[in-house]
Amino acid sequence: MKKFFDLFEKTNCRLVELRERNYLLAEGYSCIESYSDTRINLSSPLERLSVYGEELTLIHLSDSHIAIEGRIDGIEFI
Amino acid sequence: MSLYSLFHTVFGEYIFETDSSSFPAIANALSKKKIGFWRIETVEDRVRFRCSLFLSEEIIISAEELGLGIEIVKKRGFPFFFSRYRKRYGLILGALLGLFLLFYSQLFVWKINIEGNTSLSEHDIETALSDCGISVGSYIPEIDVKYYANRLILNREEISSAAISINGTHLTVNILETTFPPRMIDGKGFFNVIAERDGVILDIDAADGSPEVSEGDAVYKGELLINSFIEGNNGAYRPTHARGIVYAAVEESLVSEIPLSRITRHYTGKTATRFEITVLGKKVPSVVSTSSPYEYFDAISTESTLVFLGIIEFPIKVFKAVYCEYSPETETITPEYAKRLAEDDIDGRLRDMKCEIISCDKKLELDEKNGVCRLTANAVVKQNIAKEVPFEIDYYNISERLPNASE
Repeated sequence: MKKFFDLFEKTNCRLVELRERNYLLAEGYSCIESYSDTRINLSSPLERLSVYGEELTLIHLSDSHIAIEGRIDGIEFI
Repeated sequence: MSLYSLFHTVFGEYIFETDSSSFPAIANALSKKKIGFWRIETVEDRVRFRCSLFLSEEIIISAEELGLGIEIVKKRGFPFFFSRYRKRYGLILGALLGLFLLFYSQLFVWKINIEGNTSLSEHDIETALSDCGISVGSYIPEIDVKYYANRLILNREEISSAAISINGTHLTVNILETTFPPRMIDGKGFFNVIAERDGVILDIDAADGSPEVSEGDAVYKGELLINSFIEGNNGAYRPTHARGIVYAAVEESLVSEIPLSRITRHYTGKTATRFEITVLGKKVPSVVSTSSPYEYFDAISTESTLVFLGIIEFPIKVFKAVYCEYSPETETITPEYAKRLAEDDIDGRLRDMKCEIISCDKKLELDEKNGVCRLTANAVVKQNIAKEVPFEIDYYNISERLPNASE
């Protein structure tokens, strides 16, 4: 069990939470790579995440949290 | 409007615009520097976002450091609104003066609320308060609530208890009205009841004393109706304060004269409106006279209090008077119309007497020489004709009788 949590800490855990296709909270992602109202690409030191949909809007951006609102059609790990 | 929106409106915010390709880099840079921005909107291929007035310079510097283009598209909020008028010294002075007056006016009574009154009208209590020295416009720091509450009680016997409280600029008077004891019957002195008028007795009700007349008797003015002396148990008579109600049929003769030509109002259609403004109970001097510009006029006056947004009631009262001009014109009326007017007059006067009318004979006379229609009414009405009159007697008491008895 200890090994599991150590792994969790070392890998700099990333969490993506999606609420009813309208609200997405991405934890562990700190940068925006591209921005439009149909696609927003986020990046972390380990991977990139692409959120696509309609009327997408960035509503929060901080060191480790990014929140997106809009009609989310899909998410893609690149 | 949310609280955040209100906050940004008060303190001011900038609306920036940049290319959607440049936006991610700018957003990441602002995030690293912990510079807040909000309401990101995509307009075609450009992105708009808002930031605080105080952080705008840092955003521009950040964009320059990144070599990206950014422009301010709009400035929103009070600071920008006021900066537009920063060289309008009169406006600034006026605003400052307005603010000063607003704060200064907090030292005076704006409104008087009256609570607890049932039979006394608010106007009566306001007048009583005014007599004590409190009215709209009174200087609040000088109002000693206990002193003025006591003065109010002493000035008006209808008020048994009063409490004055000041809440902001509103003065509240809570009163308790006096409950008066029933009126005591005055049993002092010796009185007879006599007839106030000639008439025929219809009903007699003697509360004290001995009735001297009965139903159907004709009496003259001044005749004794109820005798002061009543018979005791041992057959002796003693004087008392006679009182009672004596209804009699009395004659009333009324004459109404209606001139066949009379002056009527012919409205010219001209009206003039005049205003008078009082602030904190003090009249504001006006350049325009508030009196009527016409010689003959009817006036309709209204009073209203200035209310802001339907909530804040200012101590400003506006008196509005609308004067309607008319010219007096002589009009001739028909005898039939004059008769109707005369009958209405007689009927009104009989009604005012508040008596039961037993009979009424009317006689119409058209006096063409004097140009009047004369209606004479001889009415018989039921009226209380009892009148109490005092009288003096040589008082012969027991202490005086005892020595005589021993002799």
